[in-house]
Amino acid sequence: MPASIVIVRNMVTLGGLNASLTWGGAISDDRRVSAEIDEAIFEAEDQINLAILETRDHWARPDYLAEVAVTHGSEVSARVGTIEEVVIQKASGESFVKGIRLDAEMINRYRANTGTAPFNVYGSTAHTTAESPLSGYWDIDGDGVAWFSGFAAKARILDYVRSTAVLQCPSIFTNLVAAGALAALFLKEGDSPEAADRYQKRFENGLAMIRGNIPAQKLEERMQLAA
Amino acid sequence: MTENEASQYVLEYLKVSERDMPKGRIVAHIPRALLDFSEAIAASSDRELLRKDYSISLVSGTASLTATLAASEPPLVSRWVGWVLYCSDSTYPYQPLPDRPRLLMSDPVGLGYMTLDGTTLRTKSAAAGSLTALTETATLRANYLVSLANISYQKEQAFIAVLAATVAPQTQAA
Repeated sequence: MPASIVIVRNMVTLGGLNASLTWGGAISDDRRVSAEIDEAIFEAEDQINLAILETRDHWARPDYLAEVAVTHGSEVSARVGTIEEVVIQKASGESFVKGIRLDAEMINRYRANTGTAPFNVYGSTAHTTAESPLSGYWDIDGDGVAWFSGFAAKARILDYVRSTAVLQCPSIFTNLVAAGALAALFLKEGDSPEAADRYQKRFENGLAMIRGNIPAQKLEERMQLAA
Repeated sequence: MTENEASQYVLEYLKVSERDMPKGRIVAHIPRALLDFSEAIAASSDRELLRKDYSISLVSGTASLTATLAASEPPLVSRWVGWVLYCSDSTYPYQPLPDRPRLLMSDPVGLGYMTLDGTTLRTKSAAAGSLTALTETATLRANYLVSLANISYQKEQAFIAVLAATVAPQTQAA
């Protein structure tokens, strides 16, 4: 379950800053307006999300994974980081199976093999035929362009675009989002660098735990200790 | 056996993953492996397992084998000395002679003789020792280049061993 923006906002403004949720700020007021507080929250969440996405095998990563259709010779949809995996439907009507990475040059040779001379160097079947030994291969080049052999392919990508309405990181990170936001806000709010520093350390510790891929239960315990 | 099955068998035989050896690379070696396998069988005591009869048309003592050699599962030209030709004028198979000049020399009548001259089969009849007497449909029994689909079950693993040996240098280079 994702962390709740309402809860984090309450934690930051009511608990952390000891301020009203609804004040709007004024030109002469050195306190943050609510939009700035929300921005600090989302920026803190960005860092948490990216730490999760950049940590291979992190337990929370599957929450961000999405499957998108791949077109041979076209760029895969916008994503964070590398393509996780490509699944391929070898022939029409078959189930998708995990693809095998192969050089694009070989894939194009396999695709050119119709099974009829002179295009039968790689056997008597085309790559989209059932039981063809030429299907099930994929490659993604440096520009994100996909190549595959088989009937259809889908890529598993890390699909993360910041939402300004809801948080996306797991609710276990609620405290961490608040700490990250307060670390930024306290530099101005009440002019308290000590408070900012305290929250910054807590935030950095949390990010380090994420990058260390600490199991969820232990992470919760450690974050409670750190708080 | 299908190409897919053969390539899967080879992966298991060599204990390599498909990631290291894509199946297409194996399939590309199947024609060579089939030739090696067929010739090995033809040279072994199992040669009868890969022999079959072809009907050929003799006209004035000669038969063009062009179409037969271009068809699926053609007779193995490299093993033509082991071919057995039966014609109507003798109960004995025709005897192979090394080349056309040798066929032109005199031989005892009563036995038929044959030789392969390019893609033409030339005969000397058993009855008259004539180079032009035979015009008929004769039976040629020969070892042949087997197709993947027709390898008998009992010889499948022998073929896989040949295919793996053909592919193996690629594995070491990878």
